[in-house]
Amino acid sequence: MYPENLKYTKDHEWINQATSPVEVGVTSFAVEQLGDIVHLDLPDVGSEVKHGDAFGTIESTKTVSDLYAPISGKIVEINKELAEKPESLQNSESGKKWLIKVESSGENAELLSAADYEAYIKE
Amino acid sequence: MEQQTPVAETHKQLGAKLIPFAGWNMPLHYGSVLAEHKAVREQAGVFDVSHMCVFEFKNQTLAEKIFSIDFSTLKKGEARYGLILTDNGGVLEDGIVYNVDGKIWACTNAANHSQVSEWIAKQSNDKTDYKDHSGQVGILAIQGPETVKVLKKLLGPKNFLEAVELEFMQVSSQLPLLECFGPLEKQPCFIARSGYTGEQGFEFFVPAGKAKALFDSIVQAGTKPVGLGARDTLRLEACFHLHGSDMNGEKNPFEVGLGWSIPKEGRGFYIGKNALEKLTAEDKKKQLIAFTLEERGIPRSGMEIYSEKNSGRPMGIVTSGGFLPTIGKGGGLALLDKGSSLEMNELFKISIRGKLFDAKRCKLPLYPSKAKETLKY
Repeated sequence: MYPENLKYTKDHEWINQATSPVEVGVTSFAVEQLGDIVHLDLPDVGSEVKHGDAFGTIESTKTVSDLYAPISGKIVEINKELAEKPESLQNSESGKKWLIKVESSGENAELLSAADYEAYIKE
Repeated sequence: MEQQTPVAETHKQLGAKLIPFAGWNMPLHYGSVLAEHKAVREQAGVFDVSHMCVFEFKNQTLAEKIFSIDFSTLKKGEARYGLILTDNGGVLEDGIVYNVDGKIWACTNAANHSQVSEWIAKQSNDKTDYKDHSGQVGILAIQGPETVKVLKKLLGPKNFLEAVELEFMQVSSQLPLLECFGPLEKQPCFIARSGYTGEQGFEFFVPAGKAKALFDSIVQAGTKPVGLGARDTLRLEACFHLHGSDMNGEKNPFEVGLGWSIPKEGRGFYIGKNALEKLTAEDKKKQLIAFTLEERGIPRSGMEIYSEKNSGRPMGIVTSGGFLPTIGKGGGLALLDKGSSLEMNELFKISIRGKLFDAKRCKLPLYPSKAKETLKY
């Protein structure tokens, strides 16, 4: 369910460090908890993010949640297609639909392995 | 500990996400708010709204004090939208009043139960004037263009025909289909052609013990169960007010766009009438508007609205907002401050977490109601 090539945060974001720039997305667990996704607010290309800080928001029919950056760096690309069709996040596996691509400055939040993340969300 | 509706067991079996609401454990959705919203717009959905309050007025004079309705025109078999006003003419509550075979019944919001029951008790001289049935009644609503198809399947060819003879805002306790629920003298039992979605539909008021079986059979007839999440998005598209959000005890009915529900001057015997008749044209100016966003974004209640012509100062707030699934945009209702105004189709801004989004004032309702359309069968 949670691909092993990705790392995860306790804020329910995933990061693919094998790609350069690094891809950042939101986990399928978070999407499932939120319900129908109706809006994504992503930052501007060129802006800087700091690990642990909010870089955007994800909204379902009833609630809005912040998206937290797993790493620090400069945003080089945002997934505009996904922002146009946020509902396509539904039922998508973690790692398939990235939100932002970040040129990492080398600093990151606490990252969990797939197994640790799975254990964490079962708590 | 929250109260359970008589349909609670079924909600659990259907995998509903349950949330505490006004002291009740209620289904928010059964998997997807959007899918449930769509089902009501395109097919049919069933709601368990047994958390709502039900009052029976044995003394009509008391009901005439409580509700701003001209009871002389509320004939047997008719239902009417009405408000409960404070002495100052503020909107304390709204609800539907039913004349069921000469007896007055009313259905009001679950969230206001304590305020409304205290208010009615205060206005009543005799405890036998009314009975509070709240929590003892199963209230189920079938809504959507395929409502008639569902009823036909559910009730059989003869009984179904009698049900569909009801016109919009009519009510009956005389239908043979209700026989199985027992006589009205003992327990509330009637069916009304009404709803809160902007679609054709019926609302059943049945003894609590009968509600689960009725809900189950409606679902088995092919109706999608719908939770409070879609109930809110459906009513918001249809621009039906929600008390506590789009109106409150501080606002008069005219300001919030409910002047149409007030009896003609001189008619009725309701509390608040004197205060309303003293209002000036300025006091009565409608401040509630409907809007949609012109760009992607979700407005939520409490967000401030701005316009360049107001030189950067906030000029009102969103009272109900969200994603409007049928319209495919964010939108809702907003209340302008006294002295502020926006023309129809005029652009303005809504501040969403510090960012300004383009919005446009739109004609009410955002989704034209189909509730009054002739039922086809």
